[in-house]
Amino acid sequence: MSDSNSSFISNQVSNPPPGQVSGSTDASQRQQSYNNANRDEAILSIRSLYKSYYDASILQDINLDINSGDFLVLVGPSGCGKSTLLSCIGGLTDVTSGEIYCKGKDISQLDPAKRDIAMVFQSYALFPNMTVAQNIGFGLEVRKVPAAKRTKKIQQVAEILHLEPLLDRTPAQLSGGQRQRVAMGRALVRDPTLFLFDEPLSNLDAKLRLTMRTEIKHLHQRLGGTMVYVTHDQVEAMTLASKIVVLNQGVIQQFGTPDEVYKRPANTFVAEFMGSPAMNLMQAKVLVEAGDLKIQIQREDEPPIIFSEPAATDALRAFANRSVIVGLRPESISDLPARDPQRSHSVDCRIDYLEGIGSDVYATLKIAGGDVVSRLHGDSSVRAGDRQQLHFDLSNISYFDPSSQLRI
Amino acid sequence: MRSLIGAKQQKWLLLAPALTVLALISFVPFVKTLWLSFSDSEISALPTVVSFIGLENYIYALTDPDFILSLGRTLYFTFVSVGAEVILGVAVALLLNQQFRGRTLMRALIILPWAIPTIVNAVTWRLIYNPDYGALNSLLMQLGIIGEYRSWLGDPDVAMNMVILADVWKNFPLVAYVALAALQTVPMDMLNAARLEGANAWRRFYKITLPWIIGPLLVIIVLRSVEAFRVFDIIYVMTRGGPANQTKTASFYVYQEYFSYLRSGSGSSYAIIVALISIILIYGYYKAAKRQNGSL
Repeated sequence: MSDSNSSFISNQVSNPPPGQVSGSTDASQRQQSYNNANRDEAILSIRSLYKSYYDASILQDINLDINSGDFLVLVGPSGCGKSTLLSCIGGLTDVTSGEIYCKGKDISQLDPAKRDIAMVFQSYALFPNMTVAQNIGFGLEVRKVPAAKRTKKIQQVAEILHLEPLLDRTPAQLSGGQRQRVAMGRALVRDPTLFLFDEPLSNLDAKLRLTMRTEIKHLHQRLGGTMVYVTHDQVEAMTLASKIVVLNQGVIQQFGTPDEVYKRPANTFVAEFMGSPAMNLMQAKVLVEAGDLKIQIQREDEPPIIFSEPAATDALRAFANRSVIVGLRPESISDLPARDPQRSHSVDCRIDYLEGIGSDVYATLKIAGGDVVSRLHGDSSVRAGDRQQLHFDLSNISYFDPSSQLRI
Repeated sequence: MRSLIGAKQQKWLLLAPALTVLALISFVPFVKTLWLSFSDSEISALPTVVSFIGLENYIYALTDPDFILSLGRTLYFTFVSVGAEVILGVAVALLLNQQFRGRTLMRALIILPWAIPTIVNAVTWRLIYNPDYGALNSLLMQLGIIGEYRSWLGDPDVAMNMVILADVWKNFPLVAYVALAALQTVPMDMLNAARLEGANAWRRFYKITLPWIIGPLLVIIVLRSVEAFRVFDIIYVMTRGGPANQTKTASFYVYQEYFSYLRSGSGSSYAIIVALISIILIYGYYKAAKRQNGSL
């Protein structure tokens, strides 16, 4: 066995280089089969969208479809291009090439005013010289909606957002949360085809952020509406989204439901980006014993972890006698046995250090120099340095190709 | 812990040096002028007896039709030149706020007219307007707009407007710079929000951008109005109040009364009247600015 096969890589797994990542988009494109039928049914379809400033490529080959009522969250690290993509959809940024369809109509060259899209900005972008009512009614006024109808609509929206007592105030007289609601009111009142949210909660304090998150979720459930929401906060993404796009370096890493993205990350980048603490990534070797597939994770000064993989796919079988990256979420390494005893594997481990968060305790173990985080029950009495029997729940195990970093 | 002197005293203490200088260069001459305006003082090589004559100078000034006319001309000069400077300045600022190649160079170039001393600017424009070899005549002739060379500063009907043109050219960059600085603080998100709400460029300007920059603009309008109201140098160089007194402004009138006719008492009363009108102007704009801020 070579060194590279046995070494532990955990969090040291390098992010997939862009070249390899674009391979993954090709693959996911084939899966999604972006055809015209989807395009005409979808509220929003993006086809081969590219955006570059001079030589810098910001977005590469973006393809996605979302349907009426979808809550799409664009998530990724800073500078991944998520805000640029949102800006392209809204028409505030020109696209370099590619098309954006809204209800089957190509809007990529259309003026923002004509796209029937409303946007909520991180800075709220309220008009300081207008009252709350004037802010909410601005779009209606521009569209020459008669005053009586306008007042009625403003009242309705104010009621939904609990803004009635504030209608005559100016933005300067409002708190952050109230301003945020006015910004949402301005979007809601027009009943647009598509709502865009650009990190709307980033300027709020932690507690208010949670409240507003719930409020947005409720609003969406109550009013329907199709949303595209940008955030760098993966918890926000998981809780709000019906679909998630994970972006990195301008390339879609994965497009799927929150469940898919969380449980079946398309590559090591998604595995590490989504979820907190991140998914544990461990270098392992695929062994074949009497036709059965076994996974071996080498440890330093301790016997290796070996478990059988009865649900091995053909793709994983192709890695026989080669190394793979095993991905396990912290909650899949626990002091409690897994729900499915068939997929539970017990390992005796030494706990290095502990971080209690009340409901749970995160225990970090070292395996050949790398850190692996496990989630123990909050009542666990284990102490740093103790040995503990940990149960590996293999039902949601992920395997990645070490060379391409893609999911096997 | 409480400091030895209160916050209020501290403010006055800190203001004291500036107030002292201000008193010496502004308050003392003002009091002197005020005193002269109630006297029959004249500038003379010989010692003269100066006596207090009450409001006589003021009554004379306010019943002098020529002085009233000059006040009217000054107001005309102020409103037209400041109005044109603001419109041109804001328009240029909006252009300079766009993304284009060579923007930095253009921003630097645009300040040049303002950087030139007024006297030089006035002489330059006098040459441009020259009835025999001026560039304006030549240009308009070649464009076929005029049939023969004209004496722009010699024609009582147009002379004032020609002086105003020279003044606008000189002073619009200042307005443009202030407007440009203010424009750069307009949040991009706000303009984008207005765009998505369907507002066209004109509506975005007068509903969003203009209310945002109106504060700084009002400040520069006040400054320029006060300056324009006491216009003197450009008139002195270009027309000396002519032709037929058509460009004779209030300050020029004061100058003539004081230094040409040497009636320092009477001239002082003219000066005080001009100063009072300036104060009314400032107060008016101050109120306007305050109201504007209140609505923000």
